[in-house]
Amino acid sequence: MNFLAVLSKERSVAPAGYNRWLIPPAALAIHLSIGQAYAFSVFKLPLVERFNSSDTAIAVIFSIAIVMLGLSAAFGGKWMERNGPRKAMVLATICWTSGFLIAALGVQLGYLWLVYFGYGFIGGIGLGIGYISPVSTLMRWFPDRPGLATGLAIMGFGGGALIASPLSNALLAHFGDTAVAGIVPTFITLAAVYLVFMSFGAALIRIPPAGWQPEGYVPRKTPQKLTTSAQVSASAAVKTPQFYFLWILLFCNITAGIGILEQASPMIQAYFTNITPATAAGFVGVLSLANMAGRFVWSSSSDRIGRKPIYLLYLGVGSILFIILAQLGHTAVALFVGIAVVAISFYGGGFATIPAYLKDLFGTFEVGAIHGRVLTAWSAAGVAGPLIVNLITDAQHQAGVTGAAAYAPSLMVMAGVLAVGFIANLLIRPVAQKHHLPTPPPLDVVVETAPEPARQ
Amino acid sequence: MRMLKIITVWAVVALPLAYGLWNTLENAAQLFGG
Repeated sequence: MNFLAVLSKERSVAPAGYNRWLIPPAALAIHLSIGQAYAFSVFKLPLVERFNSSDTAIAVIFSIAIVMLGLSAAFGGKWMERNGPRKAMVLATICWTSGFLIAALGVQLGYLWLVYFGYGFIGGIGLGIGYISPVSTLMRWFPDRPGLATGLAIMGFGGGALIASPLSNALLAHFGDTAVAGIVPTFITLAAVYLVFMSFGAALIRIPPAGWQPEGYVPRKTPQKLTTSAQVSASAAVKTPQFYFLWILLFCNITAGIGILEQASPMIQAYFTNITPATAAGFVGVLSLANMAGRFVWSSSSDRIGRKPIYLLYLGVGSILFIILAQLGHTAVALFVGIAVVAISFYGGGFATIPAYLKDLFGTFEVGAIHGRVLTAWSAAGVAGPLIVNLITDAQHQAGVTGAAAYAPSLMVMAGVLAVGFIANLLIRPVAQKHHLPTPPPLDVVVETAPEPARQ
Repeated sequence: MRMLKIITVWAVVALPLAYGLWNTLENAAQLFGG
């Protein structure tokens, strides 16, 4: 019981003078851990060999995890807002690490369904709850720079794969003569590493005392057009057109990004015959960096540029970049790589800027829960994106089309998808007053200690 | 003391990230003939 009390929202309130720059590392510890999901492909071949199954059967593990991410973020958001970030982080830690352990048992016993259940189902819940757990807390600590704060955290999700990929390869090589033999001890080791790292984040996280504001922070007297000082509950938010426009623009942004990421390696080899698989792997690495950097750079820029204009950039310029890639990408490697890098940085930026856009429109009251519901767009795009790209490219290959020409149609379709998102963004207006909460809700628990401005 | 705490906490998350970045850059170098 005492342990649970430590996790309560009341016990997570920061003492007077707590430095807010201790909060982003707490969020990063969680996101760097769950970002391992993007590096799951490292285990694909060893798992195919272990279960003597098809590539598709193993790909299902990741698909279940991404679907569960969206569902748990959507359904767990309100619970997280009620119980605070620390309890949510501990739940995410338990699910994420036990997911690895159950999957390890599945690999040991030869039960693929147990891997689906462990990594996919249980681990996926950890992904969803972990992903949303620090977001609203960060925005309350950084009302002056919400884009920067969430950009830092969500950058961690991109960075998690950069760490997990070489680490997993090293562990697989260390534990077994073959990669197959190394899977079980690698899963167990990763579970132990993430248990420590995520617990560090959960121990560090604090929520600001009621009424806390950064030193010298003066809210704008004339707020930007879309920014509200009112609060909208999660159940009211899903009744607004703004929620669905945001859902559509996130869906379009992710679907198009996956269009490149899904086929990055075969695509660059088809465009340029002198590119070897090893060089193509380097290209995939460059895209991972662009994805991660875009999350931080574009999201923090949105604090100055504004949320709506920056999504016009992601979706509008992004659409043009996809057309150039389809039509002129084959002319030079530098042009191809340069355009793909900028397009993928927009993809990352779209992920990281969405919480601040939600805060602008709906306030911070239940922004974590609203964010969770919007993230179902990720699950949908995770299914739609690869499906669209693979269907079109397969059809091209069957028709005997090879090289760059085989990929151009899917890139053009993705340009169209981005254009749809662009229009959805254009249609976003401030949330109607009828959806606002009548009285300002208590954003956080009230504490007896007098709030003192924290250090910058 | 307060600053030391902040630096330590940031180092805990920055070091694994630096490991990941280094490995990725090594891979990426191949694209540019490195």
